[in-house]
Amino acid sequence: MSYAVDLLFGPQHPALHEPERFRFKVDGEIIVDVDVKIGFIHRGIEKLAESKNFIQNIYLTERICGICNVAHTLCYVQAVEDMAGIEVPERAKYLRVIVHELNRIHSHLLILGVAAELLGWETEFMYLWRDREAIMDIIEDVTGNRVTSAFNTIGGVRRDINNTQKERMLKVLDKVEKDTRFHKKVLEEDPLYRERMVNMGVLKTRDAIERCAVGPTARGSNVDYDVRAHDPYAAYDEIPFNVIRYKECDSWARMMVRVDETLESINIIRYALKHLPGGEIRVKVPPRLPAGEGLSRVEAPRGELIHHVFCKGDVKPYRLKVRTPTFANILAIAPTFIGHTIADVPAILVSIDPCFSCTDRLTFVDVSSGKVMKLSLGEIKRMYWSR
Amino acid sequence: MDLFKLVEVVVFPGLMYLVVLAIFFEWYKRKLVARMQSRLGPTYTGFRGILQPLADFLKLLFKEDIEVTTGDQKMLTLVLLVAPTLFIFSLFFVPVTGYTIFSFEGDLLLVLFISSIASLLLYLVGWTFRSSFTKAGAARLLLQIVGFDIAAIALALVPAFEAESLCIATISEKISSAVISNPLLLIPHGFAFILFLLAQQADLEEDPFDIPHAETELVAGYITEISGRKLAFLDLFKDLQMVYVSFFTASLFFGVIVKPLSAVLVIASSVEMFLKALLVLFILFTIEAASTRIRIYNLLDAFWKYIIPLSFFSLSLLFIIKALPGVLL
Amino acid sequence: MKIIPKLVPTVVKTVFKKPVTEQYPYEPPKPSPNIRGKIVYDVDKCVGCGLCAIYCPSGAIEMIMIKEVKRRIPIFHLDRCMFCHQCVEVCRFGAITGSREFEIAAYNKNELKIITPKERVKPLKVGEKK
Ligand code: SF4
Ligand code: SF4
Repeated sequence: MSYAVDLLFGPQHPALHEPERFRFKVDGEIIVDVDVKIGFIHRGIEKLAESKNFIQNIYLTERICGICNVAHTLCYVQAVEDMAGIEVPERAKYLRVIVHELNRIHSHLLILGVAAELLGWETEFMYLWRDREAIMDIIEDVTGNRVTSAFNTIGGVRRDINNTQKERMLKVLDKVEKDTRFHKKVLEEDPLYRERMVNMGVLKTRDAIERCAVGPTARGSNVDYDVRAHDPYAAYDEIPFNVIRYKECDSWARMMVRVDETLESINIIRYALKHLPGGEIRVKVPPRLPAGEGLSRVEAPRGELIHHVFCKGDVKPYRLKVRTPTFANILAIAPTFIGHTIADVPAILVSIDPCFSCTDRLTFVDVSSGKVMKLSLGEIKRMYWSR
Repeated sequence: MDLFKLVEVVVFPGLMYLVVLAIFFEWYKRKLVARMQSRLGPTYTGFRGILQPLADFLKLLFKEDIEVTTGDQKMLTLVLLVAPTLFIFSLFFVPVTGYTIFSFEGDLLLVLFISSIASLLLYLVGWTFRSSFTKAGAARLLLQIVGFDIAAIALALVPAFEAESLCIATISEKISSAVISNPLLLIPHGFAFILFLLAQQADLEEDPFDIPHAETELVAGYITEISGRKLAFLDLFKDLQMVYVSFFTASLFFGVIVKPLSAVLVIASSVEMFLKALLVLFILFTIEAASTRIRIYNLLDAFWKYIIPLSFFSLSLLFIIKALPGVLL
Repeated sequence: MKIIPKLVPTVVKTVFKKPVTEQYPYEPPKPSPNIRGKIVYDVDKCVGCGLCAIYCPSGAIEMIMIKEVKRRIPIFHLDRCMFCHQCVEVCRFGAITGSREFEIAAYNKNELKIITPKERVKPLKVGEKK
């Protein structure tokens, strides 16, 4: 007979940077069961998108996730372009790739730092974020803001890159590459970090495919899946790069995928800057778009991101559907907690780079019967908005 | 007891001096770790933020004391009042200024005993609450104490045998001459020093051994439910522990150069002890900054499988080296 | 020596290096010349078409009627503005431009409104090309 105790992680907990609840059943320090509860920060963005026009929605989708904002805007504008059949100029495609990859570098360095901090390694956290600051500066230089870049727009991009910016960027990239190589060496060889991360939360290749893991989580489990390579968008079909994979399938492998991808991203940016075509950076798009349906897939820093747009010939989308990577990953990773100790929870959780605010979904459940319901807006109004 | 002794206990090497040292060491820790992480650390209060720990302490004293109803508050208050005094008491036997206020043959064992009691009192802090975080933190703390305490005691005996005394003051006086007269002793001495530092790191609950109050796992471990004045005293307790650990280690392993024979020399020797304590803390904080937290199982592994056997090994090595000349001659 | 943390040499070296922290309010910030900052509104160029209010994603622009001169001008609520510069892009008359200023914290929301005084608003001449 086991004496399992409930240990609640969240909604407020230092290991979680966003509110979400994990109910662990622990026997001593060993976890015997886990129950994930999402939905604490549902923001109703999909619904809000239906009331804003296509241009406004760029800035709304940007705010689904601040860290991977470029991936979100890129995915959204590509979906709209797909819907309206808009051809984007070549130069804009390359610029999109450059900013997208800068965004990926900043996101990966960020999560590597957070992982170190969660393991009580504040120094590595500080060093990683110090070195990430250089990337933030060039993002600010190129797009106009440190985080929410507002760079992509329907039909192209909003800003161009000139030669001085190019030079500056190349210089910073050299520095960041040097720093990342140093951190790679540290993370690869540090005995205590390895002790904490190796063999934690093993997600076998089969399981990763079965549970639909995406992004670095899947690639850390040796799944050869990268939207950039297998369904190229923007200019990725013209840029050579490697899909990083690790065979270890554990937390450590997932983090190392991110380190290597950072190095790979630097090479992608270098290539894109070198082969940057000339010409226009955007085409004009009318505010009212024809009726249709558009889908776009993007490899966000956390994994595959899908935006799906419907339009009924209006200035607004009729429906915007978003599927974010953490939503896929969190369910894949949850069972791997079992058998580990409480001390390993942060190490496993951080390895999927969780982003909860973009994960949260809303389902109507009748509490008394436990039945899941599908309700239209009219029905909700009639049933619940009694005022 | 004459007046001079009283002044000693209350003011100079005693109570006040130790509390000032505790506050200074807290600042030293924050500043040094900040510099190691390429940050600035405290800058605002006083010269380079030197008064920041004092300001924090005073701020906590004025805060509302939120009493958790599921906890035994009387017990907690008692523990937090007794615990800091224990360290101050044991520091009376340690030559903080080069000489000790009280001293007798065998006080090393008393000091080791008192410091173990103080660590156990921390366990009571966690155990007085019914929150699962404090419970888990307290349980981890107990496991940790069981891990490092035996090693610490065994290793503290190494310099005692080198100097052939169980009195801390005598050890710190004789240790340098004992090691110089027989350079072979440096091997077990160095060995014991490194291991002792690790054990003290575990006592201080710094990385890699900050397991009982691991923030990202157990919020703040056994401290989770404490606030206000009680937290202030707990912080003071931790700072005094830092003072105790640094001076104790320095006087056991470093030996003295300046002997406190006159008033001027007392100042010189207290500066010397102070610098040595800073050196010990520098090493401890370097380890703290450079390492991740390990799991409690790793800690038990490390101590029971490696450090405790190694500490007994260095003790026996010491015996062999000491006995060797007698056997050979 | 495989148990020594890899960061030890770096940590000791960093103690003797200059910290990288920028003490922001005490030190002047060093933003890039290209940042998007507070918007600047020029009432003389504005024709009151209201496109900026339609496209502003955060509803920071409100069109108001000035009865005296019979025309509409925008009010900018900078407390809602997120510096996306969509209004700068959409205004065809160059009435809104961006600046580099970003320190606009205030105690009162009303201080953050850009309201053009009535006297400055001139009546619109029909047919005039700006
Ligand atoms: S500022 Fe420009 S877009 Fe806005 S109302 Fe005036 S002219 Fe139109
Ligand atoms: S910068 Fe953006 S948010 Fe601010 S007023 Fe202009 S359109 Fe609105």
